Amino acid sequence: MYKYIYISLILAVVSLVGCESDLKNVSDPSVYSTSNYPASISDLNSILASCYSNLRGEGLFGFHFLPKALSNCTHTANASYGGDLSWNEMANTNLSVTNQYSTEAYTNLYIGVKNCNVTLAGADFYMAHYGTAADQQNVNYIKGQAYFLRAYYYFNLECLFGESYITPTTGSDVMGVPLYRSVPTTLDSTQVARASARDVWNLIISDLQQSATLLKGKTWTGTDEGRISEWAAKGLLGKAYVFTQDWANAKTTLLDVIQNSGKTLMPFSIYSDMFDGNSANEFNNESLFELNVDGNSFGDYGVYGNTPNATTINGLIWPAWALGADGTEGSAMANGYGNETVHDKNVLRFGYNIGYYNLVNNPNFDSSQPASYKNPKLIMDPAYRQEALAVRANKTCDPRLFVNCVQPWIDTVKPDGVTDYPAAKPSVYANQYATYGFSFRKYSPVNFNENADGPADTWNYLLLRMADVYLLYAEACMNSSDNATALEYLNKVKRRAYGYPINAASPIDYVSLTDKTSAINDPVLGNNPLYYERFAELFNEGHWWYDVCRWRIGSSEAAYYGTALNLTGPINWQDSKSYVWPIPLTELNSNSKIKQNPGY
Amino acid sequence: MKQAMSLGKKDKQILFSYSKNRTFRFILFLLFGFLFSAMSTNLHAQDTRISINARNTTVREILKMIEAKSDYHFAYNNKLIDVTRKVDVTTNNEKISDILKRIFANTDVTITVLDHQIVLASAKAMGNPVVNPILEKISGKVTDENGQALPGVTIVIKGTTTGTITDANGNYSFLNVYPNETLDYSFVGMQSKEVRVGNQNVLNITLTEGATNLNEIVVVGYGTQKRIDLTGSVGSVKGNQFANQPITNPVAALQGRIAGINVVESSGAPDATPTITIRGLSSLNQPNPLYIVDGVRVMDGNNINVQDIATIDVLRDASAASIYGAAAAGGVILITTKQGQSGPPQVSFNYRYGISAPKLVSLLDKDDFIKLENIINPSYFENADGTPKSGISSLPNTNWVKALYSNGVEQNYNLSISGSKSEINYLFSGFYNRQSGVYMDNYSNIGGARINSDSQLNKWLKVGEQIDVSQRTTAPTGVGANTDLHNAPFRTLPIISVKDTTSFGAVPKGYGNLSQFGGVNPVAAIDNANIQNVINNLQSNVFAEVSLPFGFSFRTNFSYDYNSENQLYYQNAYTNGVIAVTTNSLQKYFTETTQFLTNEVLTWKHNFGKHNFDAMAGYEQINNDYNNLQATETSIGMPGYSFVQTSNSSLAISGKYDTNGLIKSEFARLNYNFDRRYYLSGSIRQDANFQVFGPNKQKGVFPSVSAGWNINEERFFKPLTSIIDLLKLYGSYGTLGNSNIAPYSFNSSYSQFASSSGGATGAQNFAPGGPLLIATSTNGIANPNLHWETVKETNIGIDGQAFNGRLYFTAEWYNKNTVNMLYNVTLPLSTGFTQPFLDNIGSVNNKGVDLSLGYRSKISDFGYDVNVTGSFNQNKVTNLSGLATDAIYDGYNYFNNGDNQYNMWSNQQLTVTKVGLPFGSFYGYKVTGMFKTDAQAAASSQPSAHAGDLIFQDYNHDGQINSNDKQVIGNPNPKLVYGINIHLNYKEFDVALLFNGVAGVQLFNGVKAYEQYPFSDGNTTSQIFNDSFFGSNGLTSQPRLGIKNANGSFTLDPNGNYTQANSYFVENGSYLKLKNLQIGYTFSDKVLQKLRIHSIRVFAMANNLFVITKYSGLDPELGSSASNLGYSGITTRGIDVVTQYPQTRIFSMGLDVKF
Repeated sequence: MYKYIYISLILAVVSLVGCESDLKNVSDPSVYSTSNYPASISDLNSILASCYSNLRGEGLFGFHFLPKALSNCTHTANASYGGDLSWNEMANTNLSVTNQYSTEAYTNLYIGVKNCNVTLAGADFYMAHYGTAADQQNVNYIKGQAYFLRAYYYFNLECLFGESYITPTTGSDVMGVPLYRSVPTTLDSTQVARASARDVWNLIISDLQQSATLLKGKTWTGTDEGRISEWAAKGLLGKAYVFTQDWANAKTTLLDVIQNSGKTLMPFSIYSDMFDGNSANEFNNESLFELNVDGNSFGDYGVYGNTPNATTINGLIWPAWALGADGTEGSAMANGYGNETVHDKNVLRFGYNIGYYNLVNNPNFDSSQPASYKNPKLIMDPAYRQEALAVRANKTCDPRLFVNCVQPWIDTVKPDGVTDYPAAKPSVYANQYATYGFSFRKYSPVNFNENADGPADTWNYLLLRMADVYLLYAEACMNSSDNATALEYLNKVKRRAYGYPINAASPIDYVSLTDKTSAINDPVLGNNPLYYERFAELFNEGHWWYDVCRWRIGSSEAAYYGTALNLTGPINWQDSKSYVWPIPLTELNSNSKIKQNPGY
Repeated sequence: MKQAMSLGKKDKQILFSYSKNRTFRFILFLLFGFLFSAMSTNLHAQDTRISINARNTTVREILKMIEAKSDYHFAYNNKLIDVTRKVDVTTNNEKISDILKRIFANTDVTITVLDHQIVLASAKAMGNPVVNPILEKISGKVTDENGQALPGVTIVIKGTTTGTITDANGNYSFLNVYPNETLDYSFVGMQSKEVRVGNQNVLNITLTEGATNLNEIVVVGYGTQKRIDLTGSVGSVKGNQFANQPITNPVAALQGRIAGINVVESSGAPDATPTITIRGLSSLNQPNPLYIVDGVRVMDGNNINVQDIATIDVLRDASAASIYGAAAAGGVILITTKQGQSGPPQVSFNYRYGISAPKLVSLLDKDDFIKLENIINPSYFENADGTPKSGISSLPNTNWVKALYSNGVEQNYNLSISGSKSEINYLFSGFYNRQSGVYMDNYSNIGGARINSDSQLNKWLKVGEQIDVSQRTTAPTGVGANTDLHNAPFRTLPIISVKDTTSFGAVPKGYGNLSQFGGVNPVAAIDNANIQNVINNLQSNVFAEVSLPFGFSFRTNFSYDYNSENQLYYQNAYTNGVIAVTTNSLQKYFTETTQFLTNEVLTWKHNFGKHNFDAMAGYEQINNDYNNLQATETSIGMPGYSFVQTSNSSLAISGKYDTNGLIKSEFARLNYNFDRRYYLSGSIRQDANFQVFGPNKQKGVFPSVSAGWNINEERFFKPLTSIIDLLKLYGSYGTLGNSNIAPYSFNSSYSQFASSSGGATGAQNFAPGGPLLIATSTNGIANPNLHWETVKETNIGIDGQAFNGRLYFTAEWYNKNTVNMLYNVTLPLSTGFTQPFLDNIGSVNNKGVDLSLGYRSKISDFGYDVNVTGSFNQNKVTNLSGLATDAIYDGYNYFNNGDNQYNMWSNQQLTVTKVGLPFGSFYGYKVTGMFKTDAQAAASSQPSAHAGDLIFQDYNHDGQINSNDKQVIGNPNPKLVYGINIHLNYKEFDVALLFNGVAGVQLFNGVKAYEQYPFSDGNTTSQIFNDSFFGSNGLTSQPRLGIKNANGSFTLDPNGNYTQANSYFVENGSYLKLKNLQIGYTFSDKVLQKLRIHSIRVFAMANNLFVITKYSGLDPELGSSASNLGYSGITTRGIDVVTQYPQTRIFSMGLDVKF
């Protein structure tokens, strides 16, 4: 009898365990399935957010693109740190195909393209499955932003990696970059040859036109004020026309922005204080496209870490320097890593013409007290100091030098975030007479130590602003024989820098398009107000490399700067390759249809 | 939801709460098991109680009454048994056995219970004395010819799966054995013996040496087989061989002991897990072996107390492993734990204590460092005129290696109690292993307990369970801000103090760029990071075995595994030179995985004359649940492991709960042999995995066939049998599956966006301080066609024994092809997808021979057993078609794992994998020599080189050296892996030596680049002073460091001698290592008996005592370095990197006591 009980019990247990029914369509419960997401405008806005936040990737404005890539290859900065091969290659304008920073830029820019394509597909998915007619307007705004950002990413990709810049009559036989108009869905569709440069620029232009159309009339306010507007799209569109030498379209588009956007140049008082994290001056009336950055890393190491934040950490690399606590330059302290300082040649280029300073014994030294930053044994020669202050007061050099840079002994720096210390030469130049030793003010921590605070940058990045638009408009006018207008717009920008009203003639106006500029001993910029103004106005904003390459003034630039601290010889500029960054090895190893740029 | 559980046995209570039906089923089964146990007291005739009131009644009538009141009926011959006798019986709830004893008192009637039948017989008529009807228990001791106890002898009741193993003293016991049953005793190296039980309660058995390797019982999938009957490839190791090795991982026990298995122990970390490769690398996504413990697949085989292990069997070839189908491509490791033993409780205690010393690199001290800097950066320490700067003498002289490394300690405690009580065999064991690593603040302690028991409830039903719990607490290395472990901290400076009185040291100002030194102070980083990782593991299994008529039997297992990992990481805020961690933070990481497994197996064994059949069919289902949580809070109010939120705190929480893990399998096997001469076997398994593969791709079928021929059983062979005891030829073909990829890879989805630097970019706002909008995007391309990778393997083997089993050998040849390989195809960067595309592309071939040869004998009191294993393997990628490009590049000379850039060979990939080459072949410039003169260099393809520079081969003959000249410069896959095991004993002494070695392998000595060249702004070793033309050197065996410029500056390495991956760094990696040497002494019985101790053995041991090698690095036993492509080391083998945890040499002593 028990036998039957046991058997039935065993059978009962076995049948209880039974066969769990097959699972047909399982999906990861921790992620959104593509079959039912995005299901709301809010979902769609989250997808769009990735198109913006990607700008803060370590390979873009998060960390490496400005200080390690662009500032080195333009010699805006001079790297005292030589321990990074890719960094040195950038300074040498002679990249290997494995260069970290060109590879990262390529990678992050294409991630941006992908995020935009995902957003555009998501918008269509949403409207096809969930959206109502009432949602269409919001969806249009989302698509308008995505089109703008896709164009922005392609703009940078094409300028950096495209075989060369083009004109309205060329470009079809020039290698552009691979073009993805939508998200690839199969392995085969990831093997994409380089489009022609013409096709890439056409996509950039049509995306920006679409963006402007979709965003027409939309103004963003409050916590959305940093989103893309119609005028950002038109501004970048005008820039694309200038970069492709389509002067006619450039003029009409840029003039539309100048006349109808309501945007203008901010007065000098605000201009001189709009790159340092003063939030009162952020998203001001000069700004068209601005990346919002908050000085809070939420416990992450800046952009490294897993807590979402809104910060970047470029300032670690090129901080301002303060005099050592013991009052010596040898003990100078950086408000960050202090890997980079301003290339001395730039000081000259801004017209700073009083030479180097000497350290002399401090007549007020109080020997009863220990030497300190307040009581240094040696100080800047007081006579030189008077001269230097006179340069500022009399504006005998371009005032933008001091918007962009911190000058040793004259300016002050707060290494502890509170106390004013005299600024100092970076320690790499300590006790070396024939050096200026300016450090960065623009996009740099001057009044706090970024090492000890976050690390997090506190300032926004102005990726497109009216001064750029004015100068682009000037360039378009100049190239379509409207020299008077060209001159006027160059002068508007210069007048602002010198504190004059922008729309009235001023004593510092250029009188011709070949007038002398502030640049000392500079055969190229010295007599080219357009080149000089773009250099001086947009210094350390990441635009100069594009100008150098499209104007093809690389070899004269290399000659002007000579060498860099992290190089052992002269800059190895090669016209045959240096204008274009190499397609990264990883792309070559994974894309059977890709072709490398000439020279690599 | 899921609560902690505690499982008791028998009379203990069960507390178990669990959601869902599965829990309910599990509880039900447990209860069911207990019900059996509870009822078992009534199962035997002698224990069933009935009441009878009969006076002057015939015996026959009384027997009928008992039949009516119980399940039993009587069988007797009324010619022999007088049943007409009248008796008085008055009982009140009395046992039947007692009633019968009274009725038949003073007669010769014997009472035997068979099933539900009670047999009454006349002892006189049978010519026997009075016998017990059933042997409730028999016990005995198994010894060898010299009377030495044999532990680990397998004893099985013939025709059943019931069995036991002798304990350390050779003792065993059985419950409820019937006199007509036969016990089968088998032990490696001994002739197995079959003994009919009869009526003896004590069976002391002597086994003799002989052709018995092949008679041992081998655990195969879902059953056991005698080795002689095997037609597939199975390697075995007995637990006593490694019980005292200083290991906490069963894989380590296999090293050097089984042919075809390459175990690499590359790290001396206290929680290091060795890697195991069975018969070569078969896949880019090489799976770990499948662990089957006591018949049940477990999630993690690394937590088992090695001293609980009775045997480990490894299924090497596809025919043996294919019964595990889709999970078996990495090989199958079957672990059998020790079972309860006979008689009264036996207590065994084991302790060992050992000291581990690391093998280390020495960095330059202060004086040598300054000497070097005066050459390469002369402005740092010398004034322009060449005089030393002031203050140098007061700079510290720190030995960072010493600051970080010291000797470690290993201690191991093991206590077990085993025995049997009534019908239950039991084993309780507990262990604790405490290891401090050689690295600062690094330790790992594991403790655990096991309860194994089984009850033969009656002739046809056995139930039992295994429960194993363990907890491992580890403080891992490489934590703390900005730090990875380095076997020598190359980016430290001797002139920085470890710690000033108030803060962590930095270079004083005034030494140029060195004063800006931003390297991490590793001591500071470790001091300011507290970490604790706790892994809890439960493995439990309940089983029932039912004997059915006609040779059928049925076994069912219900198993529940629970694993949780809880990591606490507190990061303190601190400043270290120019590096600072500005806010403190606490991170907790909690992961819980559970597995519920059930299988039901029906077995049939039958013999028709000389035709022997053994068939099996079964069903298995595995459900996996996953639950994890990761939480980080910054600026916590108090240091420690509690989240105390402050106004400055920011929080990040993520977690996943996934119950979709489901694998369903059906399987069957048929073994047939004719007269134990000709064997034929086939098996098939179908697996369905619902989480890893998409619709219509979930199922895979994995068949195998094998055959064998025992040649020595043939008549024509008889003349040879006096010399050759055994000669067996066997061959097989089978297929296995591999699904070792992340679940849901077939799908694409939206998740929070993270750029390459992490999730900090996972949100964005659009105004200063504005709300963060979470950013999402898709991360990859879906591949709905993703399916199993298949391994197809042919195996041909020969087993032999000669000279009465003294000489034994096995040779096997295999040919293994992996097709439809699971390949993480790197997508072009231009897709914007940084996650690879998984696809079934390519194939790989592994060919090889596994040899095992041994000889054992005894000369008087001196016994010896020498065994050599050797595995030859050739690995070759045979197809990678369908790819964008034809090669996979991987491997970096990492300074910090994962940082392709900041290392000695920035962004240079060191391996290539493509058709015709083995996995991960070394890749770089081939060095053909060193320029002896500048003139020789000027005339070469490297015109700007100088004397002392390396000559690189112009591979493409284009007259210049560039990246197109990179070529294959080495193979990290050993041609031969071998082991030598020597066991010696003389009287009370025993000695065991275990050697392991590899031959025909190259290593990429990346560390050498750091040892002979200054890395970044860090330090190096004194080897740099041997560089050619360094200081006053002429041409040496090392290339030159660089060139001194006219202005006094120094240009480092213009030729790329040290900064380009080249074959100067590729070295012969062959080695022979004395892995373990153990000397033991066992005290004689006489002394101990007075102390009531059964036996004491004391032992001393050395691990990694010496290495014979030409390799110039720290240790040639290297695993894999980190893979940039995310593979588990297949493409990055044999690269020696500075993040390698140092190997250690361990000296231990210990003792074994048995009471």
